[in-house]
Amino acid sequence: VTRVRTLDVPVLTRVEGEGALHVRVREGDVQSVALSIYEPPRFFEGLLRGRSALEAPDITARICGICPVAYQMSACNAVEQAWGVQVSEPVRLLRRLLYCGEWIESHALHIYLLHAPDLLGYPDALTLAADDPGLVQRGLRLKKAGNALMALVGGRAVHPINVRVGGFYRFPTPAEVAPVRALLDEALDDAEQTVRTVAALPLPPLQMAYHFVALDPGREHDYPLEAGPALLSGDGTATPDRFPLEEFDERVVEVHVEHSNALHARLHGVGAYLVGPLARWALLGDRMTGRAAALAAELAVPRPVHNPFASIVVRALEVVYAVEQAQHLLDDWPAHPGPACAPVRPRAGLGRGASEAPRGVLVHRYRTDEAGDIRDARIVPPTSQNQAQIEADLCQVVEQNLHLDDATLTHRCETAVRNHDPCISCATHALRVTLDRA
Amino acid sequence: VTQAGCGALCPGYGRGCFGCFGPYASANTAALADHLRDSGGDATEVERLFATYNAGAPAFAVEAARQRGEQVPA
Repeated sequence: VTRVRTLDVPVLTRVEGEGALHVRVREGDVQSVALSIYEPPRFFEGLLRGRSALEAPDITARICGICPVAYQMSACNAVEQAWGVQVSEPVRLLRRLLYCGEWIESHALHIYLLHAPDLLGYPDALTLAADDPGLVQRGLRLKKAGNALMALVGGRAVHPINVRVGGFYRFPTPAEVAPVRALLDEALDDAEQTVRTVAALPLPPLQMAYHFVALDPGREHDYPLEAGPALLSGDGTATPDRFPLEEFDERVVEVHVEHSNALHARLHGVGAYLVGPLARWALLGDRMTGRAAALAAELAVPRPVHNPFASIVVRALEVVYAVEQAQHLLDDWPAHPGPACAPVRPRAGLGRGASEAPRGVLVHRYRTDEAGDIRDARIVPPTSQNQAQIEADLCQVVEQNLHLDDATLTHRCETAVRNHDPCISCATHALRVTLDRA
Repeated sequence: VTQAGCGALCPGYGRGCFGCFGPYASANTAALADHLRDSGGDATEVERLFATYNAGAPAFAVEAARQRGEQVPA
């Protein structure tokens, strides 16, 4: 008798957006693993055509309510490159600050509300809060600090309105800065406690040989965040390969697979690859500074991290780094930052821009006509890039844990998907729809 | 012509409102659009204002169509 075992999660919870998971095992062999993304495609690249590229930061922000800043930054970077706009140093620093806010709120959300319940054996954060209210409250305080930073710079925490091509509509005033800066000392304590808490979690064992891709910030001492001219690609041990964003279209091919409404990305000559905290840590973790670096050393966090279940530790380190960066950026904010926006002249051009969304590098490309209207757009979000690797992780999880009963193994698989904090709503922004009428 | 609730956030940052919360009840979009055109806005710019967020709300959809030169019901 052939023994076929199937694991199905028809609706994945504690991920952003709508997806499912299907695993089929036959005679102890994993036959298929599918992260099925059934959320409908959203056609953002199509609806950008014919709109002014000045509108790209506001429109693409609507792709995601958790990482709108990532879309705004990558869009601004791309349009500014297309039009030869040079932003001032205060503008760049304020973008970094805004982005720190997004990393803090997005990572705190994922760590405390989406991922920790899995690793602590709770069905959700509400049940966890009943047993350990202090833990969940700490997570919510951190998220609130991140939101406050986003509102300070962006005007509001969800879909900020203060970002524009060339800079900002206006800089925050000292009176607006003071109460937010006051939140950050407690936030740093909370972030450090977060690292200690998650580093002590019992993690399922798994060792993956990843090929990582992260943004090269083009600045010697920065951990990658708001902008960068190139991508780094490698396994985290050898010197990484570096290629400019101009080569992204040749290096990264997006393919449609039948079971997903989000395109899968493949790196030329490599195949599946991973972006996100593990990639940033592996390729540029030596750029961590201050308390984040000290905690990583004290807790002996390996670099690279090969166990995806430990991504929660790296995410927590990034929160510490982001809070400290935000403190420095606010403390050093100049009294006279100059104009909030650089001169912008729409023209025909082709530009690419990238930034490190909480989930990994996000690449935009726009071609504009003489009026500055978008002729075509390409948006490659981190979750599309990670889909193939998530499936590879799942394959290993299943192969190595066939002794577990169905419920336990299914839960392990769900946790493995959440390791990479997939944002399915982001991944289905895509343009193409393939209708199979055969 | 737009629904409030945000404390006029965008005007507070020196930019125009883009109507996140949709049109106000019995919004006189035509009067605003004419004023924007008289102030130097071209039809495309004004059309885009009404055809971004809540583009399907009838008050916005009709005004966007009028700016595109389409026949709209009176």
